[in-house]
Amino acid sequence: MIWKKLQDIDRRIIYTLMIVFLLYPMMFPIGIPIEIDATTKDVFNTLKALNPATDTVVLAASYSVGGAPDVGPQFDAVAKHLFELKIPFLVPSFVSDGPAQVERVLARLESLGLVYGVDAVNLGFITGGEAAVKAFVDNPRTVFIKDFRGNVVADLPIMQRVDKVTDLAYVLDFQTGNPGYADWIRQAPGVKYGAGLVTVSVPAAIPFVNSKQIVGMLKGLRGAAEYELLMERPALAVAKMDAQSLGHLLIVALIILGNTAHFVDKKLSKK
Amino acid sequence: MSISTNPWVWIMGIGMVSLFSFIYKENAAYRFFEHVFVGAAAGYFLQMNYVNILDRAWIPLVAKGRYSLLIPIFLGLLLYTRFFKRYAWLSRWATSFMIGIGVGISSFGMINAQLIRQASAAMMPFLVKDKLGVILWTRSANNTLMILGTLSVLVYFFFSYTPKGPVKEVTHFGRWVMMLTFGVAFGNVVMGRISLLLGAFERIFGTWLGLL
Repeated sequence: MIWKKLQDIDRRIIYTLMIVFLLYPMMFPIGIPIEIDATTKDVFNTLKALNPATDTVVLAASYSVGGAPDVGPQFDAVAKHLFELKIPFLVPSFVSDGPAQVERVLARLESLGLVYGVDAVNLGFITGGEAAVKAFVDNPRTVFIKDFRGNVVADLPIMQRVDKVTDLAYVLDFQTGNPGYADWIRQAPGVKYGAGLVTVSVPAAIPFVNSKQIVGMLKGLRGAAEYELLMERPALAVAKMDAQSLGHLLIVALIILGNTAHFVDKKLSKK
Repeated sequence: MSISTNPWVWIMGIGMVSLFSFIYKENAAYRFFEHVFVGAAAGYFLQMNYVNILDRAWIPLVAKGRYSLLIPIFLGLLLYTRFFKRYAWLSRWATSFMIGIGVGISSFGMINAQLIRQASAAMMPFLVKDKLGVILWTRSANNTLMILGTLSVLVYFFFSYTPKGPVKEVTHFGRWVMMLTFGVAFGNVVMGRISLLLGAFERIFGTWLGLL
């Protein structure tokens, strides 16, 4: 009887267990060790090796609100790192959700001393998907006419550093779908390109890491946590990794339990 | 931390809890906030695109006299002929133009970026040696697995011939490789979904209720 019940646990019990397993470590962090992936180190080392006097970086904010809990912490960590390294960065958005999310990050950095228009600019949203990526690659300086705050982009001091796409030392694209890494590697083959991906997209992107078309990759929330550790400033992403690990353990335990119950029940009913 | 006093945070918190209530059962609060979300998202999207059209088409046309923009504006307007049965066929012109541009832009880069570069990256040595000629066994095993995996999956999708004998075994191996890949993909989906849930919990229990 118990084996039958274990094969058909009420979903509300599973949801309750999941809430407990996720909330407890968020309130009382356990500190489960996190191993740092080589692709995260690639992003970190690429940015660290840049020269603030000459180099400019693009952080493309192509992530939707729906995927923000996975990709947003990556953007937060990298933007903070660039600010500390004093490397100027442009933030174009190829999905409409991007600019408003970027604005919150920039506002936080401005309170720490970032000068808008000199150290960073929120270029706003451009529609068109892959065609928009191509337009930006063809003409990064003038494709955005006004930034998200209504300033004329061409007048901003940071834009005087960029004339063509080869003036960009690194493009790091934070994305939850289209346009994504495939669009960028098709349209910008000569650009050093890295990706901050939503976890779901990671397996499909690995072949492009192996072929070195993607140089450096942040893999979902874990990528953000690894980046925070590399910066030696563990923040919320690191805290969430404990919860993530416990959540996985619960799912694995439930899968094992369900399968064990299935096979034991089958064996008993044969008898 | 303490409970938020910001009314917007309260709307966010109540909205999120109402949406989560769906996992217990369908209810009026869930329905209400579902509609609010869809409406707000549509409004935001409309505003962002309106600004795009204004900045990129209308202002350059009217203020700077860039009359070449009349062509895309005209094609864009043709899309709306779908709402008039008699002229609906005209929308196909604009659609054809967009598809043509899309295919043209992507196919040029696709051959190099997604075919040649990927094929070239799959051509790797079975045995990897360091500068001193010592075999690197882990990397060699990795490469061997990659090569065998790629070839066996390609054989699996070769439908012009019914696999028999040893070829059938290769297709079986290809199927295993694909199953493992799907497993990895599914694992990543689960991981991604938990990340999203954690983001929601952070907002509810942290930003709103101040418990984190």
